[in-house]
Amino acid sequence: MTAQISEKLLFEGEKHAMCTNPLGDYCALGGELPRFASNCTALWRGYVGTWKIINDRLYLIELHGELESGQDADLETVFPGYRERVFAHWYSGVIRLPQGKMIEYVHMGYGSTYERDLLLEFAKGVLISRRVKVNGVAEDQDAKEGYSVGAMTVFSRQGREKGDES
Amino acid sequence: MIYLYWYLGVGAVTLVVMYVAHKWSSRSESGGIKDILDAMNPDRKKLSYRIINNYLVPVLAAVLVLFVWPIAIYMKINDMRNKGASGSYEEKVFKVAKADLLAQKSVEQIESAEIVADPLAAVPPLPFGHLNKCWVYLIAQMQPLDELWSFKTTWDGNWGQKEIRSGYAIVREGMPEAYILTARIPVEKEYEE
Repeated sequence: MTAQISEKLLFEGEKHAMCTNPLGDYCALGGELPRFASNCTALWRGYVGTWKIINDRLYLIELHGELESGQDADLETVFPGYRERVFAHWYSGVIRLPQGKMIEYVHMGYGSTYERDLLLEFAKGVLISRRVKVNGVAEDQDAKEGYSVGAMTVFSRQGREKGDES
Repeated sequence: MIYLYWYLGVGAVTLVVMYVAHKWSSRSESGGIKDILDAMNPDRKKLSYRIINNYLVPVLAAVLVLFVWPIAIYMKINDMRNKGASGSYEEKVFKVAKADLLAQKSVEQIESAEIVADPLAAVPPLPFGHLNKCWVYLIAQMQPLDELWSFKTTWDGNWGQKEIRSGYAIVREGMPEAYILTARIPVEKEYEE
């Protein structure tokens, strides 16, 4: 498995890479998601969501992806009638925002370690606590700041239909 | 010398077959995936990237196939053999146990407790909000003597990830049947301090 492209979170005026997928919980709790196409190995879920915390509440404000039918998907594709934002009331748990330089790259999921993690805890979509977890200091002082994905493979149409890479 | 011509001839045929197969199977990037890839790698928009990606790499690949076509054919056969070779994996299925039940509730109690309100009107003002359909589907399965119970349990699910699961279940003749989940919170040791 390849390191995954993160979700995005707008929080206190800054844009963060968000290494948690609250829409995965929506689906696990019974919510219906359309069939997204997995166009590359760094995006198995098939979409990238942009989230925002407004008055301590977690909202999904944008979504970009492609459906298996070939159509582009946006927020209204998943939540008809909600074009601007969707309150993530279903989400309870911790959201991880990696910060600083990369300490160790792991080519799987959100496995890479960064100098710090800003951990935001939510209960039913409402922010209830925050803390910073310090993971260490990067040995390579020239290491790039912020979350990144090392490599990915983009699927061809035939490969995708057969569940294989090209 | 004739052998060299034959060798290169076969390489040329292999190249043509592979090119046609690639053109047949490849697809152009959709707007959605293009946006994502551009955001991940801004260099994609540079002329140098496009020259390397669209011209240099394909030309080099073509030259390689022409001269070392046996390796290209071997890789393709290997690739085809590996298709569908991945092993099967049986997922654990979550079930509510009798011991997980917390308290009996009425439909009205649950619906008033689970109404979701939002000051920005970003959720339907219904029980369970965006997940209202699940609730409607659950209570549609209720039979006359059924009860509704809340439940909470720790589930040691797939991939070795423990999580706390809570929700509501229909209890029929004392046994939990259909259910809905209202929360699944991973027990993530790495986040604990």
